[in-house]
Amino acid sequence: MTLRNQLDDIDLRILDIISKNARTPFKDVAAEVGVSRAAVHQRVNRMIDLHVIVGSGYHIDPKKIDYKTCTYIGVFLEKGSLYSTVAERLKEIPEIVECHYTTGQYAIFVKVYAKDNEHLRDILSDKIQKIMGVASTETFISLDETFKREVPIF
Amino acid sequence: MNDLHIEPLPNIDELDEKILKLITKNARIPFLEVARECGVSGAAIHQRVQRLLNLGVVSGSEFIVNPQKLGYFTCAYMGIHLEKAKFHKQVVEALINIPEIVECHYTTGSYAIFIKVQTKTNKHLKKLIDEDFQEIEGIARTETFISLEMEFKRQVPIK
Repeated sequence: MTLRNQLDDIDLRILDIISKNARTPFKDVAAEVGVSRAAVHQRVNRMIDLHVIVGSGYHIDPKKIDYKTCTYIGVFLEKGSLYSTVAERLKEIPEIVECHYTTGQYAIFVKVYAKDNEHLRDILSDKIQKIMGVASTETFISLDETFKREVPIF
Repeated sequence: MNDLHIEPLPNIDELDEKILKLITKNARIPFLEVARECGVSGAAIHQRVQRLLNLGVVSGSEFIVNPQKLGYFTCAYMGIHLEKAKFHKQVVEALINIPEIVECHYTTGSYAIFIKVQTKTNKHLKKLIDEDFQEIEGIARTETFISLEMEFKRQVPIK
């Protein structure tokens, strides 16, 4: 039996099912795992309390709602100490979907979805590069997302 | 290569956007509640969601798992340099077999391939780089950026 963060095999099997399809009826999850429906409810709620599950949602394909350009941007700061103020300002830009504090040559690494290259230019020059403390940026456009998936549960 | 031309965007009206906003935040929200909020019938919501699924605007639903709570403590981005550009396909095919790689992109800029990796520890990441990547023919070298903190992660804005 694996035990990670107070999770047992049954928890992980439930997680494996509902992390692939959040609308699976708990009745079906119960049948597959071999416990009662109430137990599934209880265990899911417990995993929410433990912050193993941090929410649920439908995946949107950004391309279908007009976000055609996916880009990674490495951000250089004037001073390392400016990290938190810059990160706060980056959060105000809705097109930035992910933001990391990284080791390596960049201080901050972000993922951006833009409608097209012109929109990307606006985000870069009018928004990101105008933030006080941002020294320069380096842009990697993703020409193709080969795959995207969740961490393996087992 | 018939996907070189630009695909026409699916028609998404305000009602679709409203529905998307609600269901992308909570996948288990009862459709009746969505219906009430949007002022249409439950059947209409079912139909609309089905249509969005058919169009590929939404590709399914999930419970969002916190990787750290599952023991994945190291998140890293890696840029991959290839020996020759023509190795791209065979390298990607090998990468897809490594479950710790959660994202893989074909990028412009200094790297040929850009990936996101979730591993349990730094040692686990080292094993990946040291053993798994060494076996892939075509990779010249890699550059690793460890994420010390994920400031935020969210979906694209719906208008």
